[in-house]
Amino acid sequence: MLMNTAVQHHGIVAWRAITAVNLNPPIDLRRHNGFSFTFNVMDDIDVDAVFEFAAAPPDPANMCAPLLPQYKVQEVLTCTASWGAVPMGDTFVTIPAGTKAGSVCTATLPCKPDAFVQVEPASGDTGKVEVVVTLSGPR
Amino acid sequence: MNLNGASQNQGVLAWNGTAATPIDIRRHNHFSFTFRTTADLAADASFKVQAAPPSDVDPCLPGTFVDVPETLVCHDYGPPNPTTGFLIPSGTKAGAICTAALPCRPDAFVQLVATGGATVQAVAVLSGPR
Repeated sequence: MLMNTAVQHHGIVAWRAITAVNLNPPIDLRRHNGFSFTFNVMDDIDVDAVFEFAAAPPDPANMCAPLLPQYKVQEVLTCTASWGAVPMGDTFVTIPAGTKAGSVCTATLPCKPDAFVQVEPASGDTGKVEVVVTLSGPR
Repeated sequence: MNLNGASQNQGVLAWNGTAATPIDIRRHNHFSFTFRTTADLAADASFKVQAAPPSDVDPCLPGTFVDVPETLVCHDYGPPNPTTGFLIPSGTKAGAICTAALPCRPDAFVQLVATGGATVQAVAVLSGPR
């Protein structure tokens, strides 16, 4: 029997470029144990599509909303980094030029940066990509 | 350490508020849906599920979609409905999340047909890549 895996893995739209407004709501990470992203390529990528991440604590005036302004999430090295490697600063995810429509890429951050995280377009063909955050393991 | 749960549970936008995207479910062991309201619902938003085999012309694309009949499970009674659907009721607040799945895999592709779903987004969660 087919299982409702979405119960444990909520899928929420995190980035979608549309004509009138760029839709990238802040994602509340506090109610789940894990979070990660699916990048769905909707059209052939001609120029590297680069995304970055912003984070924020809760707003003391409204704990359900992020405190503005948000700040850029910094890179966190993991065990797979080369010995002596130094974090490069801001965290990026790049969908390279040449990627074909229909491609799927997943990514995550090694750590939870704060209560809220937001996917932001940095450069390139980000308008050709839809991003869904998977919130896993409800607390 | 935060794990990449999306590698096993990919999210694909199935309904963006105005249009549906056919979802190819052949490459995963499970599929289910997350519905999220982007505004308070003043009327019911209903979603019907349709399914299609691969197209004879291009097996990467769906053929003709037809309604998926209801499949009864152990706690159901009576004859099954001719269609399978989900209802997000009027009065649901913005930001609410609802998940749902079908008991069985109906065909190679599925898609949602919405009635009144302009302020609802639906994501298909594809779990367990084959």
